[in-house]
Amino acid sequence: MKQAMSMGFLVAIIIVLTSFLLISGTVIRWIAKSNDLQAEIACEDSVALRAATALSINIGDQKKGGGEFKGSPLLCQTIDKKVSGNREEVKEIFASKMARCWEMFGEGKYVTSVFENTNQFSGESKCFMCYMMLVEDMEKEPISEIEFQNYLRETDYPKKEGMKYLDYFQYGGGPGLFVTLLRPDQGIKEDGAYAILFRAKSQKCKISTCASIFLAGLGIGGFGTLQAKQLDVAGFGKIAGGAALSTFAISQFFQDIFSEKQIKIDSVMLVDMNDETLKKAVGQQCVSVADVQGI
Amino acid sequence: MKETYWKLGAEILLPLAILLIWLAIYKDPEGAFEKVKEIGSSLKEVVSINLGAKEVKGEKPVIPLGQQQAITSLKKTMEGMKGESNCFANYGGLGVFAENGGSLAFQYDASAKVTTILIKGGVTGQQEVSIEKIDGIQPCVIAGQSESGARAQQFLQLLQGKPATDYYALVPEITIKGDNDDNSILYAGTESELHDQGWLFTPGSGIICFFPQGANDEKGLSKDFFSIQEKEGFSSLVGQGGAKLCSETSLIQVTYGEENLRLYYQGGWTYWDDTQKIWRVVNDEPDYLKHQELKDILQDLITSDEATGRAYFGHAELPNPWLRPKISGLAPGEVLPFPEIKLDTANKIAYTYNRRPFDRGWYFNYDGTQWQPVPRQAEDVWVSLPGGARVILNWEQFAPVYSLRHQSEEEGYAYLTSHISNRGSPKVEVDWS
Repeated sequence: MKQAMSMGFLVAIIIVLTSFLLISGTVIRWIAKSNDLQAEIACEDSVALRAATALSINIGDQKKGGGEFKGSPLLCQTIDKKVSGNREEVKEIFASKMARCWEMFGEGKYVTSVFENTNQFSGESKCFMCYMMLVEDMEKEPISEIEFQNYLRETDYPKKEGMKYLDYFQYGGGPGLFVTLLRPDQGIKEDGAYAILFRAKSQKCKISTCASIFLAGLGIGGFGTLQAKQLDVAGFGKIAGGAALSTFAISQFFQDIFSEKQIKIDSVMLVDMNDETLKKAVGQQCVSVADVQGI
Repeated sequence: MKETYWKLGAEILLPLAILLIWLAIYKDPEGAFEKVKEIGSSLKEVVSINLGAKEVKGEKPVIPLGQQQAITSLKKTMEGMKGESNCFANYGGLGVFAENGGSLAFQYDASAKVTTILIKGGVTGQQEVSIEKIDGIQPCVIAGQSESGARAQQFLQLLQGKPATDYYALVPEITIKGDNDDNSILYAGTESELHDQGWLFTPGSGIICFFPQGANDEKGLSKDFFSIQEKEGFSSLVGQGGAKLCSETSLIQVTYGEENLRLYYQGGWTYWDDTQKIWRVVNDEPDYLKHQELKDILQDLITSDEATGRAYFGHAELPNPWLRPKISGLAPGEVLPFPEIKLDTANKIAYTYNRRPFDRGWYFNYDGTQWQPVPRQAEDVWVSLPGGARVILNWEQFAPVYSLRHQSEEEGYAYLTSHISNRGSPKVEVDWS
C-alpha cells in the first residue's frame, strides 16, 4: 500500500537500497552462472523489487503526477535458447518465451519505463533482449509471420484463463503490444536466429514539472546502476540516420511501430536477427539495455 | 619534512576547520542551518513521498461503434464488388476514423489470394482490435506514375471513354489511419490524404482501388473529384455514362460527401436532374422539409422518366444543431437512448427533436390528399400519385452512428459526436401497375 512516509522510513529505504547495491556485484556474478530458470526468476524479481522500491515524489496536487525515482538495479541477462521441434512445438516455444519476457518485465503495467531511473527526463525507447532464439532443427517449410501472428491470436495463454497470447500481451496486465518483425518471405526458419525483446515505453515530461520535481528528487536520486548504451550489442548495429529499410513491406509498418504514439506503450517484440536491415533499423530506433554481463 | 606538514594538515587542521564551520552554521541560532531546516519543514507540507511504482491496468481494446459499422460497410461493399468490373461503389466513408486514432490495414497475401483487414485501436490506437479476411480481393490505388504518365490522368481518360493504360497500381499493403482532422492513406511508402467520400473502384478480377488525394497527378485524383458541385467531376461523369456504378443502389449514394453533409446541416435539398445529368441543389436556405416541394419534385422526376419506370431524387436532413458535440458520460461504444420524436402535424411531416433524424419520423406516406408519418417498422414508404401509381421510398441504408470523439478522464468529461452512416438519397421505385 502506498502511503506517505516519514523521513526516518525514507532513510531506512535508502540504507536498504544502498546495501543491495553493494551486494549486487556478487548477485550479478551468481546470475551469470545460473541456469535459464534461475536467470528468469532473478530478472523478474529484480524488476518487481525495482518497482516496489520506487519513490514517487509529488509536489502539490498529486493528480498532476510527479517524479518517480527507481534505484534498485535490474538483474537480467539475455538467455540463449536453442529451439528444436515440429512446427507447432516451435510456435509454442516462441510464444511462451515472448509471454515469459513480457511477464518478467511487468506485463506493461508500470506507468513509467522500467529501465529509466527517473521519469524526470525525456527518455528514448529502450529495449532489452530477453532471449536469443536459435532454431536448430525444424521442418524445412518456414513458419510465416502471418502464421505465427495467427498462432498468438488463436492460442490460449495457459497462465491466464480465457486469454489468448494476444490478449495477454495487450491487456493481461497493463496495456501492451506485440510486434513481430520478420521477413514476410522467410518467417521463422531452420538455422535462423530471432531476438525476443521487451521494449519499454519512452517518456516525455513537461519541462516545468520536470525541473521542480527533479530538484526535489536530487536528494534521494543519484543511485541506481541501470546500464544503457547505444546499440552495437548482440548483433544490433548502430547505423547512420535515415538508412533505408529494405523494400519489402515492413517499412510502413516499421514507421508505425516506432512512431511517437507507439512508444508510449510497452511491447514485446520478435525480431529476425538474420536480416541485417531489420537488425539495424531496430538498433537505430531502440536503445539497448545491456544485461548483467554487460552485453 | 614535507610529509609532516601534510600529516599535520590532514589530521589536525582539516578536522578543526570542519568543526569551526559546523559550529558557525549549526550553533548560531540565526545561522544557515536553521534556515535550511525551516525550508525543509515547509517543504514537508507540500511534498508527499510514496513508495512503489505507479501502475496502470490494461483493458480490452475496442473501437467506437461508428468505426466498426463503417468498416463493416466497407467490407460488405468490397465483397459486393468482387464479381464486377470497371465500376464504382460507395461504402459510406470512414468519416469518424480520423477522430479516434485507430487505423485500418489491408494486407494482401498473394499465395492465399486473401486480403486481411487488421483493425487497430485501443491504447494509442495501435492495439489490435480485430482481424478479418476477404477472399479474392486485392487492394490497389489510383495513384502513382506509370510509363504512360500519372495514373490519375490515365484514369480520367478511361472515364471519359478515351484509351487508357496502367491506371491503377497493385499494392501489397494499404493503411488508412486518422491524421489530425483527416484520414490519411499509406501505400508503398507514400502517405496521402484520403478524401474519397466513400468511393471505391474495381477494374475487375477482384482488384479494388482506393483513391489517395492528389491534384490529378501522380499523387492521385483531385480533392474535388467526388464533389457533387464539381461540374466535371464524378457526378458529371456518372451522368455522361463514363463512370459506371457497380449496382443501382450505388447511385443513391452519389449525394454522400463532405459538401452534401454541409447541405444536410442547412436542411438543403439535392436531387438528380435526369435531363441535365447532374445533381442539383433545390434550395440553399435552412429550412425544414416541405412536403409540397417533395411532392413537386417527385412528380417532375417521375413523369420525366416513365420509360424506365425509375426515378431518383435527393433528400435533405433536418437542420440539426444537435449534431454538434454534446457533453455526455458515455463510454466508448455505448449508444445513446432513443431520442424524443416530434410530430409536426401542422406541416404534415415528422422529425426528431434530437440527434437521430433518420431513425424515425422522417418517413412519411402521401395518400393523395395528405401526408402521414409512418413508424420506423415500416419497410417501405410510399407516395400515391394520381392515376394509381405508387412511389416507394427506401431509406434502409440510413443508420445514425455515435462515437466518442474525445474524453478527458482527468477533467471528468467526454465529448460525443455523431454522424449519419451511409448517407445518401432514398431509392425511389415506381410501381406503375
